[in-house]
Amino acid sequence: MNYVELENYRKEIQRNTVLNKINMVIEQGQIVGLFGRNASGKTMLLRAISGLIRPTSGTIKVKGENLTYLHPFPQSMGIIIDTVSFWPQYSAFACLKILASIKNTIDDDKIRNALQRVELNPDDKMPVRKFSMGMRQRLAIAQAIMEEPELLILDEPTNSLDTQSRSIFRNIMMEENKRGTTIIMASHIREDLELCCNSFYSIEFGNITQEK
Amino acid sequence: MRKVELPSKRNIGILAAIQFLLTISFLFFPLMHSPFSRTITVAFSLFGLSDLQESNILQDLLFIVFRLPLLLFGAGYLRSRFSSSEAMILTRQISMRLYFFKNIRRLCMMSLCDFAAIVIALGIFLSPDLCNGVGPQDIGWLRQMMPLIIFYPLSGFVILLYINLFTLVTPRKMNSLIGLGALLCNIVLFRIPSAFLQSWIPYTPIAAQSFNYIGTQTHADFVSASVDADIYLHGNALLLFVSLLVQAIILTMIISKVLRKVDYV
Repeated sequence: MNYVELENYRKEIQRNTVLNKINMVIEQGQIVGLFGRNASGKTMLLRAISGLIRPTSGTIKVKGENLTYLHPFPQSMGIIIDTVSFWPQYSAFACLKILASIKNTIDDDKIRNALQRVELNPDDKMPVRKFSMGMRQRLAIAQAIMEEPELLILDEPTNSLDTQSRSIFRNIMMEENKRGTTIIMASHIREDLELCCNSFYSIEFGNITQEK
Repeated sequence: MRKVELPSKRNIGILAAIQFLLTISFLFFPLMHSPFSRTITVAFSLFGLSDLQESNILQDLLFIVFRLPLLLFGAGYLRSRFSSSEAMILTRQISMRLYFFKNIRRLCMMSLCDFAAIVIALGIFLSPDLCNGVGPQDIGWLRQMMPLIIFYPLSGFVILLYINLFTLVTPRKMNSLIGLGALLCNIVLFRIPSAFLQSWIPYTPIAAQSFNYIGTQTHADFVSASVDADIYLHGNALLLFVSLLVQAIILTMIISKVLRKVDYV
């Protein structure tokens, strides 16, 4: 089943073409890696798939449904885009609880479980402002996976992670994929993608090519 | 990392508490006779502005300070609601239309709570009068103050709508400046509730005698003792009401349109 479909997707921002006629089909359960240099258009493509930007022309369908103003975002999606800002004065658990309260679909146990999976202590009262960059990134991963989404969109998810944390991250991705989650992740470090992705695309100047 | 405000009712509570304390301090602090007031008067004369009515300028300055909690909390709250770095908040919404209405509802609540805090503070200030029993004069006075109940929250709501719009269409760094600019442009409209606020105290002789108050004091005789007296509106109150209402409708429509096209880049 095609989970994400982009057809002639083009995006211009201030007369610059940032995505140029993108045609892409991602099947359910795939782990797709997007590889490209800085400012090649990776993040913009992830924003397009997550519904955060509107196309200049072309269409995008997620689970067969067009993303429009009325339904801009895929309904079951976990996301990490850019640097994730949490509430610095609150603990990791409190931050995730605030985010979970928007959809209100999970209980405290699932939040705790998500934190434990990224090796953060849910009972730790330390405020997020005292977290290291690596801990914040792990918290970002926890917020993306806690609601057991069908689609995970991850932009540079291994940023600031040490070797051990990268290994934990890969294991989590495998577990999520076994559950049937479609994962799209972007990185400028090829090795990060090669270890867990089963389909690759490279992107340059807003043009995408599938790699064999 | 940029500090984001908590998207919860808790912040509205904090806003109301700050507004309450600010109002109380305005009411109980004899500002017109304070060193602060004298300093401003000296500063005005130094800049050759002695011909201007210092009290009016002071009132305008105070009015901005009075609105500051709403502005700051409003700006902080909206920044966190709509800014791009909060993709994790945005993408958890069911639809942008629902999100939009939820925000508008929250803005209404914010301005109403802000106003309620002012009314409570005024109630405390006027308690000596209220304890002496409510007479026809007091009822007349209360009727006269009715427009405040409409104008103050409505103007607060319009200010928040302006901030809302700017947050959507301008760079984040410019928001506070543009928000302040919009407030200053609307100062003529928005200061009218401040004039209402000023006219509250003179009609309450005990409170007026007990505490010093900002501005010129008039006597209770100005108020009609008759309960059936026509409600006297300061300035062009009807024009103000229509203007605020039109602004609120136009801004809501523009924000709704902008939301259809906005990119969270």
